[in-house]
Amino acid sequence: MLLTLAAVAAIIWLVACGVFLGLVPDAETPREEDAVVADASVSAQPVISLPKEVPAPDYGIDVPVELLLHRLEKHIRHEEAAARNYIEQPSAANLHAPTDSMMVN
Amino acid sequence: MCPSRYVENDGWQSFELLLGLTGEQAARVVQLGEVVSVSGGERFIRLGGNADRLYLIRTGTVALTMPMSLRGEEKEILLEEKGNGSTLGWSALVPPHRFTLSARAVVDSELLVLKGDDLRALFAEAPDIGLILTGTMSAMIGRRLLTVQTMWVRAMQRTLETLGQNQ
Repeated sequence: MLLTLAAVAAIIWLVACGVFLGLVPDAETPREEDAVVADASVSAQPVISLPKEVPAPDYGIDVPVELLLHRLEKHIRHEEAAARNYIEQPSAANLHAPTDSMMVN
Repeated sequence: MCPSRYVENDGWQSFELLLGLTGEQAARVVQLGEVVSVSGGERFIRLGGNADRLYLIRTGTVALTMPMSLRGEEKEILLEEKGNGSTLGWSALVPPHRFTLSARAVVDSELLVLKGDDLRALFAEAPDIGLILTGTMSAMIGRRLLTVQTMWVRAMQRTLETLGQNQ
């Protein structure tokens, strides 16, 4: 009886060791499956597409600062007029009504 | 900025802040102030400055500005222009009494300047005037808030559209 129990325990221990050694990856030698995954990751497109960098608004490289300032002020006047129009007559269309501003067109 | 004289009592009708008051009540407010001349281009309110005065534009035009960096240069950007009868410097009556914009006269202008302390003393003495004035001012502030809120939503919408185009 004692011998049988010892044999069963030894078998369980061996199976446990085998399972453990089989599951723990060898840190120094990459496995074949890992190599395949690594190769695939090089060529595959990312699953999540990150937003591209938003380009800086094109105000014109050669536009003098004073002219830029003038355009900005004009833009703010347009936007304020559009906002006031929306407040007078609130609607989704008026909220996003376009203006003649050069800064957004 | 140079003080000149007290405003005549019949000149109050042009001030939007005083519109809810009777002639007698408006006269009490106006008598607290003094008319000040400001030259075109002169900045008389500085962002972050101690807000101890309220300004009513009698004649002229005033630009409200905030600083913005343009190609590394700090520039004052126009946010709003105010004309005859408009009120500037709400912060004189609203804690923490710091100006949140700068103000510059666009052309030679005349302003009725009211000290915040004088107004508060008048409100304590005549709460009916205080109630009407603060109500009128709340409506003005509320309208400004709505305008800025609308401008912000419009800007956000455009930002979202730009992001959508670049994805």
